[in-house]
Formats: sequence, structure tokens, C-alpha cells
Amino acid sequence: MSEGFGGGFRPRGDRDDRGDRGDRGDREGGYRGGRDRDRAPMTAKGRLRAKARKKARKAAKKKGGAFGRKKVCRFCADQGAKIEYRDPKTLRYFMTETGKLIPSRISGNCARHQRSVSLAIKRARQLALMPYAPSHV
Amino acid sequence: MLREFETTFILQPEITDEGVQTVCARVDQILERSGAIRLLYDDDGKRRLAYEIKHFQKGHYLTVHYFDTGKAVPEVERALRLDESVLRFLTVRVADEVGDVEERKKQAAEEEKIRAERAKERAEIEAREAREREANEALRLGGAADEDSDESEDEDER
Repeated sequence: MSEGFGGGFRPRGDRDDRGDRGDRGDREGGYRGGRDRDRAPMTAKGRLRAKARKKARKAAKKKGGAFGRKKVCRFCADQGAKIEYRDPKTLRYFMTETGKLIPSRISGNCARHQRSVSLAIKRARQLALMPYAPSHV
Repeated sequence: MLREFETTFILQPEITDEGVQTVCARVDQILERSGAIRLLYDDDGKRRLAYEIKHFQKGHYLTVHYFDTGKAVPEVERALRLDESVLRFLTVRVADEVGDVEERKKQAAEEEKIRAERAKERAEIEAREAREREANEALRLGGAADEDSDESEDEDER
């Protein structure tokens, strides 16, 4: 069973996902965080996730340009661009015609910039610079 | 700890220049009393509102920038809330800690000059537009009788 599971991947210990806790005299207990810690023994869930990631990467490679291009966050690409609530012109780009926020999944914003965009839009709405809803329905 | 704030407020569009001045003066007074340092006023002039507020389609946007420890903010907001000509206001913390106060002051002074010039230009444009509108109105009212002849003239020219 352990063979089929990892698809060739072998956990470091001989006891599969539970790791070999018994014979690690060198690890003096406690979590040794940071980048350069030894590879922690993987959990079953973690392994599954890793597998899923790998699969996704492969699939993305295969499809190539056929499906979605890799989106780039506008504000990461252009460091000079600022997100300001007084600038409804740029913010309008991240809003639908019905006045809803466009999710980052579609606009391609990174998480950080999406946060500041949504905050800016909300502020602009309070000041009547941007609409809450379309002007006539 | 000194922080930089900016308070934007929207005034009724029908307000006179003196009315704007009095509101600004009052805000100034409050800032001074609570020990805040005013940097600059930014007059954005009349803008169309994205939605009606108190049945007004337009609003006069003003922004005041200032340094404060946080004491003046509620005072300013209270004053704006009580003022009937203020339609809306929003205070935003711009910077959490101001490094060089004097430097920023100087910057603000320069900025204010530029802003004032721009505001003047805009005011001129607005005034011209208003005049044109009035003239058009007068034309329409006065020329309603001989409208037909006007149109025929236009056609001839083409």
C-alpha cells in the first residue's frame, strides 16, 4: 500500500507517514522552524497536497497557452502605480459595471494588492467617487 | 507619536466661496486648539457625485492634511457632522509615523502652491462654462420665436 501511495516517493523513515520518531537522538525536541530546518517528516495530508500541486503544475504545462495565460498583478508589474481612493479612474478597472468588486481570481491581482484595491474602492464609495450600485436599474 | 491624517469632506455644491472659507477657518481653529499641525488644503472643486446625497448631484470636495496624535480627529469630525453644509466626510490615516516634520511641511507648502494654481485654473474654467451656459440659456429663451429661421440659415451654410 505504501508503494502505490507516494508514486515512487518514499518517506524518510520506514514507518510511512508517522515518521521515525524513535531513533532521532539528534533532534532535541521542539519545533525547529525557519528555512534551513531539516525536512520535516511529511504527513499523509501534506503528501497528498504535494502530489496535487505536482499534478496541477504538469497539467498547466501541458495545456500551455490553450487555457488561461498566467495573470500578472498590475501593481506588482508597475511599481510606480499607486492605489489611491481618490483615483476612481484606475479603480474602475477593478469593478464591474454593476458596481461589484472584481475578484482577484479574475483581475489577477496578488493578494496584497487586491486588499488595497478593495479598501480603496470602499473608501471611494463612501465619498461618492464610485457607485455602490448602478445609477438606474 | 505624530501621525499624518487627511480628512476629505464634501460640501453642498451651492456653497459660496465665503462659505468654504468659513468651514476651513473653523477646521483650522479646531486643529490649532487641539495641537495639530495643519499641512495643506486641497480643493478639488465641484465634482459629480456617483450617487445622490441629500438630492444633490454635485459636491464641492475639499481635503485637509494634518499631523496629529489622534486627539484632533474626533473633534474635527464632530464639527463636520454638525455643519449642515457638509454632505459627507472621511478621515484616513496616511502615515503612521512622520520622520521629518519640517521636511514634510516644506513639501506640503510647495504642494499647496501647485494645488492653488490648479484650483484657480479650474475655477476659471468653471466660471467660463457657467457664463456660456447662461448665454445659451438666454439665447434659447430669446431665440425661441425665430428658431425656425435660425435652422434654415444653418442649412444654407452647409
